[in-house]
Amino acid sequence: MSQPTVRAGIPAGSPAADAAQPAIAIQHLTKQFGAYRAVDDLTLEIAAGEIFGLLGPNGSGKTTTINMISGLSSPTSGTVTILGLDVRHQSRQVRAILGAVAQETALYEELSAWDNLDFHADLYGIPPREKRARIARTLDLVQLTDRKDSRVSAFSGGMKRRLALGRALLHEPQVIYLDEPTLGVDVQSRRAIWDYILTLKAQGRTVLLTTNYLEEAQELCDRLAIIDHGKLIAIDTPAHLKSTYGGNVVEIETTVPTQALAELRALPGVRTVALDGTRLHIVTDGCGNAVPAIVNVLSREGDLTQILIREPNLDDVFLLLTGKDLRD
Amino acid sequence: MHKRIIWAIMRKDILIWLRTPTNIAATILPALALLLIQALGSAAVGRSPVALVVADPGPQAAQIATSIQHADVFRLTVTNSTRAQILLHDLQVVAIITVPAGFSQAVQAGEKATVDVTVNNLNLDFTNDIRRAVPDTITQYYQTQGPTSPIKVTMQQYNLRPHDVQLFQYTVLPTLILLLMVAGLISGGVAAAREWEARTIKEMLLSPTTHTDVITGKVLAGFTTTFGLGLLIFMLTALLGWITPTGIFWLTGLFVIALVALLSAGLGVMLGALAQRVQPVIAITVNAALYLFFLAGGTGVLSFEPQWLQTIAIFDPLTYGVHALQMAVFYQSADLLGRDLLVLVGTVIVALSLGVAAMRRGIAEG
Repeated sequence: MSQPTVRAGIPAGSPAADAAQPAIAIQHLTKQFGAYRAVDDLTLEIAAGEIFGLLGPNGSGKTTTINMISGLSSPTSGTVTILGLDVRHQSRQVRAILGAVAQETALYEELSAWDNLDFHADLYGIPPREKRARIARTLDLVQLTDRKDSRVSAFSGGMKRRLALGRALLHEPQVIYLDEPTLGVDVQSRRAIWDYILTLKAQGRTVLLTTNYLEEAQELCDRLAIIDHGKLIAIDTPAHLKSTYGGNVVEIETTVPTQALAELRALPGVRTVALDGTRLHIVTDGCGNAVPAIVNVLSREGDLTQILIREPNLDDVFLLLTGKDLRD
Repeated sequence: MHKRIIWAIMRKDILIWLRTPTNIAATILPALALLLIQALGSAAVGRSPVALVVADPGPQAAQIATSIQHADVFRLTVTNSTRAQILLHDLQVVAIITVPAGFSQAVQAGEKATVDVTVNNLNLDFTNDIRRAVPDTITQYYQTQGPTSPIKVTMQQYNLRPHDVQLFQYTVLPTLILLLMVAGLISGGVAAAREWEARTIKEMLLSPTTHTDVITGKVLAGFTTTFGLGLLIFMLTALLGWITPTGIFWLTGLFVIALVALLSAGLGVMLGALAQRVQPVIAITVNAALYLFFLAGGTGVLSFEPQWLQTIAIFDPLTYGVHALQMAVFYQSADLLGRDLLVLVGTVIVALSLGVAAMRRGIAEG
């Protein structure tokens, strides 16, 4: 796709985005709501052209961070730059190079798909001579050409998501953030949206993604940051996160809920023990040497109906780092 | 400000309004209901339905019957006695006026000549209308007698206005003002509120447009919808002959309509930005418009309303809109036009300022 040409209302001679800079640079970002610190001295950089995942349980500060990146909210302290442009002081230039897909699709339901994109094109100052072709190309990309004149109110959740994604891409942004892009969509639409996101990377764009689906993060993201209580807990590639924090996972089903949690946690090589009814989730070091000792403890209480030893996934890493499931 | 963005916001809001039948219904139905009530009320109190029975073939009986027919205070059915009784019984007429047999002979003989009136005194309004109107026609009858009339005291009427305005027509312009108020409040209010309710405000805030563009587009969309609707109704009522503006007073009328449209759109945007939900906006706006309308004396002639209402009406901007429009359209008069326009322009500025402030606050809070 071609680079954006005219930006609505951006004064001539304004500082242009610098492609040599990190796509997003966050320095000591803090957001305070009264006594509550939603984001606490967050520092990270996202390289141009990467798909970056921001993970965290509800209330961890993800949305507040995203709002400060997009300029919807002002930081209490710290800075955010997008391709070298300061979000606070060059907000309109930043908004012109940023594409956003919010968690709520936020489309005009009474208007058609075409009208929604047409309005967006005007807001972003897409030249009138290019507008029709770009809208047509975008509808084609998100496979909604045959429904271009239908009212959005008649669309399924997946179609609305695709249209929202198309809308965010219409002005050809260099940095795109997607807040839960596949939340509530069917499997087919989810796959299609993943494909679009991977296409964006292939085009050299930077994608910032928040998701509650760790499978999605693993599939799409080059790097991940896990934040909790507004602080950065870990940042790395998915594979390296798993190898660093993963260990081995032992899942055991017992006939009665175990009372021996303290004893299990004290066993050599056991990192964490979590109990959900009669199901135990244990993370161990190394390659499973602790398993005989675990089985020995549990056998004293009753029968074991299932034992599963597997490699860790991102869910396990997340649980280990934050102490909770992502969907808590 | 960026014309293209403002135009895009206006076009989008107008398109959404046109595609939301519930909003259109909520806008038009209160004014339509009021118009219907006014039409029925005018028909009921303007000219009472009366049966006239002339049982005397003489010339004096014919003369008084003519006076009754020309009095322009009754909806007359000239019939016989039997049919008149049926009409009275069936509530088709409120009274029977009978010029009895021997009436002409009694007049010619200088004796007492009675016009019989049978009234269905179901309420005082009807009864009093008949009580006042029948003696009035008798007075007019004597006036037609000229110098031979035994009654020397007559009435000479001087009209303040160049022509009469029918009661129903008189109510059309206040109803138009009500329509403008409801339309502006709903179109401006709903257009603003739905941006928060549907979270689409985020899309606009994330775009490189300015807050001023967003607010200007919103207010102008509300104004355009309201003024368009007002213009349509104004032309339609003129075509129907309900109002008859002439010359420069066409422009005065349109200017007043534009001011009221801008006032209501500004207030609508303010309410929408404060409430941020469509449902309460519709409920609040329809009620607010109705109360402003009634408190401006919209259902009658303000000068003849109770003093407390006249005092309240001083602070109601619709009072000045109704007055300016009635003067211009009905009487081709610029009486107190300067005062009316000054108040309206001042109120428009206040309403727009409040609308802008509420939008800015809403936008700042996201």
